[in-house]
Amino acid sequence: MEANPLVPDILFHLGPVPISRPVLTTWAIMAVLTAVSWLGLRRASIHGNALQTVLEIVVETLEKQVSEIIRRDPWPYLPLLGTLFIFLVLANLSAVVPGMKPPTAHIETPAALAAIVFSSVHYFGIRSRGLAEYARRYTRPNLLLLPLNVLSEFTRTFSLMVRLFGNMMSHAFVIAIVVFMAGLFLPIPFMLLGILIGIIQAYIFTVLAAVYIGAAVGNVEAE
Amino acid sequence: MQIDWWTLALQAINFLVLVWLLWRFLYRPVKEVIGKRKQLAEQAFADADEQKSEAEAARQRFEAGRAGLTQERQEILKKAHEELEADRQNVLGEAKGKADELLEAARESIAKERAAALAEVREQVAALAVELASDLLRKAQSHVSNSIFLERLETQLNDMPADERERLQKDLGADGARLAVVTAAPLTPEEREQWSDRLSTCLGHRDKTDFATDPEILGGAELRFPHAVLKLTWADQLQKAKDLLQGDEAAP
Repeated sequence: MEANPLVPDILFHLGPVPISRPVLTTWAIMAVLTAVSWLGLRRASIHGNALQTVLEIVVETLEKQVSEIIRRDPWPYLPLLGTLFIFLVLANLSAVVPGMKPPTAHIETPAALAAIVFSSVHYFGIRSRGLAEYARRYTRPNLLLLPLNVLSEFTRTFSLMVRLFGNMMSHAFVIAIVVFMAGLFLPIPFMLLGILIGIIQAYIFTVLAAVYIGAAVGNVEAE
Repeated sequence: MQIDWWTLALQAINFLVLVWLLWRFLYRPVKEVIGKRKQLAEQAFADADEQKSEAEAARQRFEAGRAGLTQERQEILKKAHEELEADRQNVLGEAKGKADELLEAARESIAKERAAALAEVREQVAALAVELASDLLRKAQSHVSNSIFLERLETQLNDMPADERERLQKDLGADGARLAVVTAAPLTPEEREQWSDRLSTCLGHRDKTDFATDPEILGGAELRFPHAVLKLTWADQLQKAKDLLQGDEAAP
């Protein structure tokens, strides 16, 4: 507790760019995901091996989930939303690996993801509806609600960020405090609980992002 | 609260890079595999549909062939029936012809036998009638007058054509020629005289008349010229009656 735990650790610098622990962890996750995907699908065929089958199941499950939320062809949105879920699951669960801390326990990673979701919502909305039609939705049902609609765009993105960050950060704090106070074995139930929390938060973040995108591109049910 | 903007920017870039990486190494291969699988499934469905249509076409061909076979079979059966019917009609016709011939032959045979039987019966009836009449005439001989026969013979000679009577007269005029008057019973001398006179008057010759008896003539008389006989006897009449009774073919 000698340093501010909310500030990411700067491990080294690449020129002027400081490389913090969340960035390094993210690179590790990226490397693992890329390697597994490459191994599983480098010779993708109709009769694939076990790893390919697992990857196909994961992708098809994500596709099904996104399709059920957005109610249209999920493939344009799957790379973003699927990657969001997979990355968040691995990032949240990285706490179980000794010596690693979840990148999402620091505000920068949720903020970056929330910013990307915020941008993607508008990108997909404008691409789907056109700029004028997309902008007109902020004046509905009444022009007076335009400030509130605009404000809600930022607040919901902010809540998206804070929800993830708060849950993961508080969980990391709880673990750290329990380890500090009770030793090695007592934190294990809390870590198991952390797995559950991590998966739930990843799911919530992804589903909310999908709902926002679905609403932007014209999902009637979501609106 | 302190935000490391470098970290924020790097994490955003990292995430976008990860999106690209996973699109390159995860989503796109899986999508391609799914696409291939879907294509194969569609191909399999198309093949199945094609095979189904081929099977349907084969079934229709088979049905058509079977229908053709059925029709051909029916035609063969019909032809066979017709041939059998024709043969049957021929056999029946021949049998009917033979039966008609047999019937005709039987009818002819029956008719012949019937005619023969009838002729025989007629003959027997005629013979019996003639026999009965002969018996009656023999028994009634004495009661019939010969003068009646004489008158009838005289009338017959007179009614005879002249040339024929002349021929009888010439026949009787020859030397040694005589006229025999045959009766069933002997004539009395008065009757002989009477007969001799009246015949001489008709024929123009005297003392050439002889008298004889023949019980077989039953009654009446016969004039026996040298080369002709003039009959007026019961036997002759009965013979004529018998011929009439025995049938047309036997009648004179």
